Amino acid sequence: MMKTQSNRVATLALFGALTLFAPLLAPFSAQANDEAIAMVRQTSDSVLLILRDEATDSATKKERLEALLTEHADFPTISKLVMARNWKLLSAEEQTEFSLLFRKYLTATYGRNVDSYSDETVKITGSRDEARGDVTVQSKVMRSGDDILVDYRLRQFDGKWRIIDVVAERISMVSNLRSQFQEVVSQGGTKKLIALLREKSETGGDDVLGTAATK
Amino acid sequence: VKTSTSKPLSTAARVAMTLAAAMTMVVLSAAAPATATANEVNDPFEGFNRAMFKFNDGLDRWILEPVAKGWDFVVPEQGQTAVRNIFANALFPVDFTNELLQWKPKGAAVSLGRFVLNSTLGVGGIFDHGDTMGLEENHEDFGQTFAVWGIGDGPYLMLPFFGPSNPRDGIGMLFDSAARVWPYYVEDEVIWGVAAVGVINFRAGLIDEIETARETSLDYYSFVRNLYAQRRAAAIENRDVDDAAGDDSAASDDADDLYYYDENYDEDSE
Repeated sequence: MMKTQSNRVATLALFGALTLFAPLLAPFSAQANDEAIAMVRQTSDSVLLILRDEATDSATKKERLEALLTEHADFPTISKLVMARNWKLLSAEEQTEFSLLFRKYLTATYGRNVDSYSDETVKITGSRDEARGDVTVQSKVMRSGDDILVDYRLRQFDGKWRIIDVVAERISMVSNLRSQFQEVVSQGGTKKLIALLREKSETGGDDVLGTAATK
Repeated sequence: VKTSTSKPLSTAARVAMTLAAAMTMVVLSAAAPATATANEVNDPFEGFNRAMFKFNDGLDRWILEPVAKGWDFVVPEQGQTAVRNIFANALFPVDFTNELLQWKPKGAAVSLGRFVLNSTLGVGGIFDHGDTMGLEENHEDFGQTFAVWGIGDGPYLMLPFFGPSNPRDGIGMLFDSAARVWPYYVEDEVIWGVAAVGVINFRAGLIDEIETARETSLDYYSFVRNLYAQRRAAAIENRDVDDAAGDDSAASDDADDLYYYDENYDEDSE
């Protein structure tokens, strides 16, 4: 008799504790994900708006994309993650220079196809909690061919969710760039890396517009 | 995959080649120190691999890419999709075998359903009705099966003609080839021709992607090496299959190192 009663008390206590704490815990994580999802939805809507705008020339489109990227991606963090142990090989000025060139490089790389937009739409398919309080928002770019899976890894900075990685079809941009940068640094040092970034962010983007236009 | 002209010899030759290649791979993987972390590719033969990569890239630029561009120009998009679907459908024996070997009965059932549906209503695989009915395409090969069984990948290897690989996936590829159903009554030349069409059609679907990668990467070699490592890891993990249901499993610590900047990197290395 005593045993069942103490069991019941324990169950009640546990239940009580859960009901007390549940409202504190559950909405916290759900709300966090909602905010992250809202941020990705808003950003991809803005991207689509820029791409769909037929009246604007591609140089302006690229500028707008870069502004959007600057606003929603956390470049100081991405720079550090991509450079990893090589980050400290750069002096303070070089770090600033790197961050600037890196942003330009990404805009040139990802802005290559600003003119090849056809009928793509973006659908948010879910979200996932990650280590260190990060959240991954999963999306699908719907188009005439096969859909493309695009995940955004977000981290909160001063209450604002910012992108720290883009994972397209399970390929993490941070992982890929880190591997390339590591290779360049180990072969030619950080000077080579900065020189290559400058070269690619200047010529890479322009050249591409040429090839895109002729297609 | 197939070399000689007469059939019995070609089978014997294939078995011999398979064994020889398998032994080479095993020797290579034993010779190389196996030290790979999640984000660093184990590439002790980088010098050799870079030479092979250069060879493959040259072959692609001079032969495959121009042919694929011609194909892309001549064959409309629906035609290319049809060819792609036929080859994907023909992979059924390999997919099914490996789904069973990895004990993925649901996946095996989906593959079987797709194969029956697409081979009949889909006219030999030309149309992918399975996809529209919610039976999503998924491929499993022996390299993935070996990985699921706990066999490590070994050092990165750039194979001539075949591209990025490693001992595990290379041996897997030989098993894949054996698991395929080769119509024995068809002339070798015809099979070669059909295989070539598959390769050209596949390359035609990647014209823009490869061009972008070549022009924007800082180091094309390590770009491809990392891409291969990530693609294989994803294929083994099979996240893309059940992504619709939402994958809530927490990422492992290894994978998460990527998102952690260690302020003490320098102290660690010295």
